[in-house]
Amino acid sequence: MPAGDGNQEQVSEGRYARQEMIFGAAGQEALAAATVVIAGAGGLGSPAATYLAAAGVGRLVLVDFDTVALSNLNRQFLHGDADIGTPKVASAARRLRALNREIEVVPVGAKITEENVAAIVQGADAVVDALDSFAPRMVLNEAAVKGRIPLMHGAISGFYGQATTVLPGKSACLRCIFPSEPPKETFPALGPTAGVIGSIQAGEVIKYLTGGPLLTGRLLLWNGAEASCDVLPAPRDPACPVCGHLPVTTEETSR
Amino acid sequence: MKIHIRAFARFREDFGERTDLTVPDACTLPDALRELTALKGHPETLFDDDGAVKDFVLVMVGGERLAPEDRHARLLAEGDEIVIYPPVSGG
Repeated sequence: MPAGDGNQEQVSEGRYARQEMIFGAAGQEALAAATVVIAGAGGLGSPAATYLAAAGVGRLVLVDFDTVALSNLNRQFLHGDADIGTPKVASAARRLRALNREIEVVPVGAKITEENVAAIVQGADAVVDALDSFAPRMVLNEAAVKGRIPLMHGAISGFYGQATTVLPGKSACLRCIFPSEPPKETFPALGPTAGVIGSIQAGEVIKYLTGGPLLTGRLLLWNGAEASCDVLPAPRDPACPVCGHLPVTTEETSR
Repeated sequence: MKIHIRAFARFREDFGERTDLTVPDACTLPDALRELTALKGHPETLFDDDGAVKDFVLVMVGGERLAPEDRHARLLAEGDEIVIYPPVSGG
């Protein structure tokens, strides 16, 4: 909020004063104590990581194997012209540390595989799926389910985006919702769409850590072409090969 | 009987948001979607080369998601609402 009247009180407000109005000092401590893995430092990872860093999530683990390309810069604002050809996690970590020196940022320059995924998500309080194709998403989903770690999913194409939150054993996992993977494509990508969906993912992480109703059991569809939003029911699949073996429990919408 | 189909995201570019159809009794889900593409075109959007509804397309009838293996024989009822959505995968 602009302090047009030169309000002196605002000068002394702490970094998190405005969000502590929502969830209090206890909520802020929960954020500071949390480790969040962000898989993907691209279009979705840029807004998701930026808002989580700014909100004071204590430890952010950024995972991306890719280097910055010119065609990334229309939406991936953690990187700039000077970063072209260098690892995305390096420029992302630098920007995030500059944004908030109170947090720890851990860059991991790796592609997510069945071999390394368990080690990557181990100890995480939440995992953000900011990947750009379904095959590694499903690897991440399976690891999140195995580790009982919440997964905040987002995906985009052009003006369209989708998001859902997975609480393993309590709400539908990605395999329940998407039993068959869409083909990998060179997708059209627009900054504002990634901004909407990545922000929703960051909001889900913050609510999970501080307490609040989540986007579980539902698939949110953002249609930026029409500026409209729909929410489809997304129940668990009892026959899901990934999470179907977990006992059915009453869905908890909050931690 | 009357049914209707709601399309989301880029499917709207091909089929519009909502289509009301009058179909014969004993109409299956693929029958209804074939009616839709007969009316609006773009069969390649929904069907693979074998004429089956593409597996990755998310399909719901009456608010219930239909697994790919359950779509072929699914019979529709008067007033059913079919939802079709192409999951996006970029990031």
